[in-house]
Amino acid sequence: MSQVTVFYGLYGSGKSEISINYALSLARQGRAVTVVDLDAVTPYFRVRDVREKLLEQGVKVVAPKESVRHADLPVLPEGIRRVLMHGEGDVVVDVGGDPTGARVLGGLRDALRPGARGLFVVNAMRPFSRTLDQAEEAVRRVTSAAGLPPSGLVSNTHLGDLTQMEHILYGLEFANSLGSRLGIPVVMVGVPAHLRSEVEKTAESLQGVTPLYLERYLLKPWETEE
Amino acid sequence: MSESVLMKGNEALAEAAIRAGCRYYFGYPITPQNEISEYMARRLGEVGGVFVQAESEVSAINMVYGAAGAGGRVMISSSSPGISLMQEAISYIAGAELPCVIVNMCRGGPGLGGIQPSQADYFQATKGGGHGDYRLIVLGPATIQEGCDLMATAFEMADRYRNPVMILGDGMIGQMMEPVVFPEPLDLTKLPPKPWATSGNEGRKKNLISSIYLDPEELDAHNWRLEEKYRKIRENEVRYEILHGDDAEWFFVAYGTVARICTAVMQKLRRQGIKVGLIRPISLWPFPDEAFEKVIDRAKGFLTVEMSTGQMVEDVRLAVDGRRPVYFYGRTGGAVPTPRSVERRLREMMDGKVPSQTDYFDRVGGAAR
Repeated sequence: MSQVTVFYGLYGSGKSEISINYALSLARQGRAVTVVDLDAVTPYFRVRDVREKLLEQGVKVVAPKESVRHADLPVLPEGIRRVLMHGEGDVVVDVGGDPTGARVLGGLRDALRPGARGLFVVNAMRPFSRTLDQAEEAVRRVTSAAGLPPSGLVSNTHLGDLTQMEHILYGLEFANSLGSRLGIPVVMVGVPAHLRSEVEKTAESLQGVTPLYLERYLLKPWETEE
Repeated sequence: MSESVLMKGNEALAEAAIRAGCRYYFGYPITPQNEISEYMARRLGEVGGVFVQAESEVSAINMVYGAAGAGGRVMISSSSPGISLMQEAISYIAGAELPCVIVNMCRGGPGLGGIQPSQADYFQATKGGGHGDYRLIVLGPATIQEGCDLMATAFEMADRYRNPVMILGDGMIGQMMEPVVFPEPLDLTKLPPKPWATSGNEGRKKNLISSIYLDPEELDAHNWRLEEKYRKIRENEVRYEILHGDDAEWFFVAYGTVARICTAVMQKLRRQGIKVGLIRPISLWPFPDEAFEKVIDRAKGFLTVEMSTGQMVEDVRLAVDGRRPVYFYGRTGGAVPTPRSVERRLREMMDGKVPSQTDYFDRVGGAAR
């Protein structure tokens, strides 16, 4: 059964890395996957910037065409409605941050396949989602701008390179509390690849929530070998 | 949980400014610094501040002129073309000796250019983008934490010297995310008074803020008084970092994002036993000449790397003053030097692969490298 999964949230909550890694995890299970770059508000660190790497690993990328990749305009990918409605296999949608970015999806709401699920990505170490009240307001504002009620949360609390197990666990607890307030489950927890063995050693620590191990794809210039 | 927050550079600078007492922000949108305006719009109201999105950059910077004159802690931010539009008023602000902080998240130019990171506004920032004999204090952070720390310094220096201070970032510094720890918010009641401000003249003589001096003798005296102030700034406000100054023979010279790239290359080469170091100017004006004096006896050469066709390298050359070779490597227009290309250029320099002694200063760059 193929599925459309939409990742939305505040700026910098990690939607793009989550989208990339989730799409790759589906591809590794042998599924046909298309990732849609629907971010019309962020100028750097976007899915389209790693298009080649994803294609190499068997993930189709739908993004604004290459000739307008660096345009300072909110450009949507060609044929976006067709992909959302009839895209072959699983479709992973990376929505731009904040209500501003989510509004783009709102305009395409009628093209989303029935059963599309909206997953709200939350990082409790980011400004404007550090308290439950803030995070709850963020969920309401973003998902209503997107026109898609959230069906679950993705706990993606981290501090970049400084992320420790304690941050993951704190974030999971935070997301659980947020989920209880909203009446939705935490369906996924982002775990940086360097913490993988630690998580696997103490599998019960994630309380049954599926970990999504995150390799970083959107690298800073000094983090590449090239 | 720890005090750290994961911040985009733009957001972090805005929060740091508020904690440093900034209560007035005027701006006009331009990529890649819009998060500063968005953050200010959201947060300034919460702390009793004023946010105005003006109808243009020209208008916004003149609002800064007014708010600074009235004694407020005021900031403006933009990116390259927007900063160009502000140059007239920046010259007025410097001439009228008013404190303010200006953030430039530099993008590729000239002209409309592009929206990817660049360092091609170094000349404009450090050599006086506007008219007349004036100087901006210019600070170039290389990490988001450093940007936050420098923001407090910038406001403090702006007040102390009654001079505009620019934080010169590049789009990458603005857009990337790193964990930061913010200082406690400053107690605004403890800031030094501004007896020169036009904040109501009850009980004292009128203050006048102006940069007009029609009498040549008066203007000459004014300019030399400013120059005396700039001399003090040169003396007291030089900031830099030297890595491996105790044993390095070859030095990268770089600031901002490019310093991060050069640091990564330096670490890799040092693991191979190659004695490489880094000079990282933090104050771009005043330029840290003294950093070069500290290493000049041992240094065999300097490789300046910039996201420009070679701007800061001219200051490096002045500091080195012909005593050692100064080489250059650059990418422009939003292209960022790759660690591999930087390493290749350094190895060429170490191997003496330059055409002649007079070509030390060849400006090398572009994708072919």
